[in-house]
Amino acid sequence: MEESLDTAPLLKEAIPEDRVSVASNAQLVWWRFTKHKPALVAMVVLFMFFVVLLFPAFFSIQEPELTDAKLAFIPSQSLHLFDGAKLRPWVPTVVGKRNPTTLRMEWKIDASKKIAVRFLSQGYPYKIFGLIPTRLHILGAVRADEQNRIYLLGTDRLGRDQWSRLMFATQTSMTIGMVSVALSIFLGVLLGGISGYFGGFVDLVIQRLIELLQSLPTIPIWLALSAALPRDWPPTRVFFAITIILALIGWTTLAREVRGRFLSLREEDFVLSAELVGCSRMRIILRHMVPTFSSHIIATSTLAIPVMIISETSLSFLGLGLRPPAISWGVLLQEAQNIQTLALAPWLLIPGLVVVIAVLAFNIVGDGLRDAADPYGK
Amino acid sequence: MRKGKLTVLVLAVVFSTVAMASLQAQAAGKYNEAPQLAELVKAGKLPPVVQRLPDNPPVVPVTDEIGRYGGVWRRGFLGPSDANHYVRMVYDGLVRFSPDGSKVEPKLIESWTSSADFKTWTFKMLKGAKWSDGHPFTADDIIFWYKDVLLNKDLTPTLPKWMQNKDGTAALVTRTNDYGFRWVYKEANTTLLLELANKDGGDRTYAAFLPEHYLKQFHAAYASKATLDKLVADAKFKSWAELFAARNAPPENPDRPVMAPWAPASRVSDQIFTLKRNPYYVGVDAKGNQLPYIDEMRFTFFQDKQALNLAAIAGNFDEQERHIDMATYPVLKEQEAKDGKYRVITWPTFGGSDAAVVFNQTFKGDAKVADLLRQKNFRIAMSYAIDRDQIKESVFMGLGEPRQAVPAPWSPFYPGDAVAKKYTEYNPDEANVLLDKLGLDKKDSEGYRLYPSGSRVVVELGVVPAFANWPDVGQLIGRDWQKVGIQTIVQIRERATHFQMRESDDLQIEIWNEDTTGYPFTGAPKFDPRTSPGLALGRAYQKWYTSNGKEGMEPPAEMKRVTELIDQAKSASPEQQVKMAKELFTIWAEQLYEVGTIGLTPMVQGVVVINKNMRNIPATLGNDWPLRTPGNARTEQFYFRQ
Repeated sequence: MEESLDTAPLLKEAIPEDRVSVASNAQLVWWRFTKHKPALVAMVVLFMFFVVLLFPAFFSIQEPELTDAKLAFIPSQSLHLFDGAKLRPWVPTVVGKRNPTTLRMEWKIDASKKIAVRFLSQGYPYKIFGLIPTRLHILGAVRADEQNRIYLLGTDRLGRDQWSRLMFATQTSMTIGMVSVALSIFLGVLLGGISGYFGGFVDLVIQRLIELLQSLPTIPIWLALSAALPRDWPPTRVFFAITIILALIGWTTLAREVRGRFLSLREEDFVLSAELVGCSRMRIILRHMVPTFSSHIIATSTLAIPVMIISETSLSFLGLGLRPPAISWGVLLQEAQNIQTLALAPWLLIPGLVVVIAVLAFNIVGDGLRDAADPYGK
Repeated sequence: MRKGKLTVLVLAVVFSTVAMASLQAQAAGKYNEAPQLAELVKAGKLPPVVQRLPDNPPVVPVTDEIGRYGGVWRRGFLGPSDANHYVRMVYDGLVRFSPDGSKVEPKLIESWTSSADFKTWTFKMLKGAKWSDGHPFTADDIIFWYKDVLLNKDLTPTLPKWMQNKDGTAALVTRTNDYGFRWVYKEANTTLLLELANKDGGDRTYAAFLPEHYLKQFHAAYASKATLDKLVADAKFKSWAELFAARNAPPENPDRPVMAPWAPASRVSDQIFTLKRNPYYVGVDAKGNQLPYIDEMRFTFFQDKQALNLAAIAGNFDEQERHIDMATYPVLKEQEAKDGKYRVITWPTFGGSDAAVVFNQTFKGDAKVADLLRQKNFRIAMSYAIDRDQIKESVFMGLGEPRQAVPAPWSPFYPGDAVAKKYTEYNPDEANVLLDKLGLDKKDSEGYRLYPSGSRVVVELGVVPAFANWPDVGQLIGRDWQKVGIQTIVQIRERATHFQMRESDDLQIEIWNEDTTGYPFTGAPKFDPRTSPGLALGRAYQKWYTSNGKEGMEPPAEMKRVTELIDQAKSASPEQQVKMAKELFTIWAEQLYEVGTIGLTPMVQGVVVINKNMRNIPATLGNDWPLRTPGNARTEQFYFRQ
């Protein structure tokens, strides 16, 4: 930390002094953030995740639930951009059948037969945001028929395209992570703010509640709460319930921080002057106090998202969170949790890699933001 | 198991006077025993083998060759709930099913005869047979079960069906002499032997023969009240009946003498559950060697099935089929070729369907759905809409065949290909026509069918992750049904919840297996609506039967005919039984209360991993719970070559 905090002189070197002195807080934060190169890279990665989150169907190649038993356990096909010297993207054909002795589906890549593919191609119909009907997909075979299917990340035991399923899983898991963090922020700022601003008995009650919640071991609590969900709820309702469960437990740390900030800011001159001018309490909290540490909240919440994602993944992996036909990273991993996959279809563990990438990206960005949140910090 | 081989039908043998077992082995005194027992005899700790064996020990046929003594049979088990594992391995019954399941053969008795009217069955026991503690095994042990257990209200609150006459009174069991007993029914009974073949203590019930000399001390009629009360209190049971049941279960009580080839030496709740050779086991091979060949059976506890499967892949078991996941088969097969420690074979299920779709006829929720489930044409449409080849390829690895829930082709009860394959072809067009005709011809913007009233048709398919990957079957069927416009919600539940909902008629449609078609008239056939837990066929029907028509819902004529056939067949001749079974299964495939998908796969304990050194394991074997597979393979004659 000590080294990275030492960027204030660096800022001065890179940017003319007069610009620094007149720059807004947001600008300072941004300048500071751009100094953190890994965070910038991670930011780009996260941006890509967000795009997928918004348009999973566009990035998918086939319907995520489309099954074909005769196409089970196809390994990944690699995408080639150049055919000879020409830019003509293609994937190799895979041919295979069931081994009569071991009953395993065995696939061979037949590089001689190429399936020509096209970017921004027409595929199965879907609706953007459930509104605009379209057939546009990022990638598709030029001649889209039974023989020309593309499996960039292979298929699972039911012959479903893992790439497409991963896109939808990304949407589910990222949404759960972010919505539950948003809920946590709301609860955290509200309760933390009330606690810090009013103090006294209210503070006492809220702080004891936080202590109680924090003293409970999280995993068993999640397990208990999710086990309490009625097993016959439809997947969408389970999805929201899981989000809320994660948020209900996640708000405590943030509330503590917000309270601390409030306690220190309460004595500041600008709060006193706002009170003297006759501002309402709400206005003082929301207009004057919160903005002074909003960057802090952003940093903290960015660091909280990966925790939520991991929680959802673990719950689903244990069979207590989302269940098929819902698709999330945890569900995909749960389905890969058997000997057959480990021994014969290791590509079905790729969702685990995606979880690692997403969590790392959020953590690195969060780290960068935390450093940048206080541009004057030493 | 081959069709042609089966010249003798399931029941034919049962009726003929049986005197097959005691093919006089060898002149007395020429018996051999395991070296470890010979040493005990030498040390004076055990009587000589000729005194331990009955006068005429039954000869157990060997599968391939006469074996040699020794070895530990390593297996894996899943803890106390896995007690039936023990039951299957030792198959401790008076009589037992043959390996192919086609006949009943004597195991602990010598022979039986039935009167011409099948009302009286007389059994001859093995003179000189002994319990594993050396105490004589006599008619008293049968009478003790009959008088003090079956007819004791504390131990047997309701008389089981198989022991009842038509008027509800108990069949009479009497002693003819020290080594003989007799069963007398008021009506003809042609299923007694099939029932006795399963009265071996399975599912923690009472076997039809109990060690009187040992169990008396826990029985209220024999033990003094003070002593018994103290025993009950010490063991923290609520009643003496509980204590009696616990002390009677060999896996929970190694002190309880058994007649089986191996007797427990530790408990099923232990980390390692061990069975040791019973020095008094009655069976010998054709050369006069006392069985079993293998010294010890050792079950290692596994926390979960996946770990057990990994151990199987690593070759840690000598023979195991229970808990081996069918999906592990490819991995096992590849490993078989690689390190050659074991071989892998399959024992397909004994008919029926390995993933049957059951339509609850008395669903108590939404009346519109309940009504739809009762429409035969709806069920036919749903059967046509299922793409069974997809299920076969993805869930059953291409094994088995599409079929309705009827017996296997090699069973005498097989109703013929036309019935077995009825409605099983994939024909979504026909399904659509049928659904249109049901008045579900209107569709909404998403393509789902609507009731005439305008609301969308939504059905729920309840699935439990058991046996095979049924959740996958459920999802595939759900998608097939959506294709013909029936919105299907696939609900995956854990077993206990599912069973509860089944009992309360809260399930609409479920996936379960139908594995009782080989023995339609005995035990607890699943297609009998009176069977519990059975299938989700309609609990209100069951209530109607148990309350004699006062409560519940009256079943349709076809369902009534099914139960009628089951009851009548119990006293019918074999030829009649075959006819009745065929009628029963024709009704079954025609009415489709239960839609079969794929059957005859090795789904239930049918993937067998065998140590290369272990011999005498049959390559084909009838595989079913009534057969106590692999008990019907005559486990006592399995042996290690080296």
